[in-house]
Amino acid sequence: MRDKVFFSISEGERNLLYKEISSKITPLDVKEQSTIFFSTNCNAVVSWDEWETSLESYGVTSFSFDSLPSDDGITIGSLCETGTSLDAMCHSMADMADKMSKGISSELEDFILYVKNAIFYYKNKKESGGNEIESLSLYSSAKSFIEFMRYVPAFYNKPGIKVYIDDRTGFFGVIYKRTSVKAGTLNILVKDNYEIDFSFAKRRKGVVTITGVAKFGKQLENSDQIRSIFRLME
Amino acid sequence: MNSCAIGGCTFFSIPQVIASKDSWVWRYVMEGGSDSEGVLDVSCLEILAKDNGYLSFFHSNRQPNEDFVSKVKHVHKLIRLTKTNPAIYLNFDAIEAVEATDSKTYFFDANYPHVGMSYPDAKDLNSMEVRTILVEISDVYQRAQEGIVTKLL
Repeated sequence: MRDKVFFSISEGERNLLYKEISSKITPLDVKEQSTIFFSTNCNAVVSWDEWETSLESYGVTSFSFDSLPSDDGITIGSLCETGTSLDAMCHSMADMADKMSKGISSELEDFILYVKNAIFYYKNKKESGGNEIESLSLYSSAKSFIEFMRYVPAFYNKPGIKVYIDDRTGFFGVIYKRTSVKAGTLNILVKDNYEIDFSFAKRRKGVVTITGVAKFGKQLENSDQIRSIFRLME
Repeated sequence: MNSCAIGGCTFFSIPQVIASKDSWVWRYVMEGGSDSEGVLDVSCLEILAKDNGYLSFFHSNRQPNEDFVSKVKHVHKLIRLTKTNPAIYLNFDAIEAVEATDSKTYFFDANYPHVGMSYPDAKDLNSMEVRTILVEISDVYQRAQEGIVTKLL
């Protein structure tokens, strides 16, 4: 959990503090208020760096065929190949999600369970519907899954967050409704082209909405910028 | 069969709705239980090819209107699901939905208590924004196997 910590500081302490956090807090911020705040990651078990390392071993950036395989022997590269069946794809995604998160934190493993539940709910729904999914759709879904996993550190510790797979596109998404503080509802859909569709709705006098597309590119280092979208709820 | 044909009569002019003074509508989302933990199928608000152009909702005229437990149990019977299976439902006020979506949602009698919802403007069909608004104004409930009703969102 990311907390805001407030400190009262004296005139003499300011210079020292600037050196520590100058990239976060500007002198103007301090001048304008008697207390300052900054975000601290002390309660976060999963850092973005740690998560990137875990993803890289699976070749999520290169779609490598030489990366660590799932229990079925499917790598990230082959997962995105056409011809993979729905059943094999779902089991491989679940297995990869498990391996990526194993041992990092129990909270993260709980979230991965939600992802797996969403995967198998989608699989059962498609199989019971009797409609064969086109291989192109499976390919898009696999790519969306890989992209979705990039943003897990932003998702996993949000209370009540729900995972879904869009029925029409097969893309992975989350819906986060903060009912306790009436902070609105955020809907994020991770597509297969390094783009994220998002929509935020909040009850005020009527309902206000902010909807758009975010592009964080292929670089894993940019994944943490998804926090900008969550700031809509602050 | 109600005298109002599908699409021929707005939800708000249905006599039972007027009499109940309750404009909230209910939709089955998905099967509940441990396998659905952490999942909410928001595609239930998306009109797909199989949906014949509209989504199915239900209205409960059980009184009092504030008793959501009674309403959930009533809707569970109306939908005729397997009694023992846990189920997740969402509900919202259709009046608020129409206002919040700038009339991009339309509710009509689809053989009461069955109610239909469509998106009249084709360009808004399957709009992510409309679905997000509907979740924001919704309450989400789960009816467990034992019939216990809990609010999820």
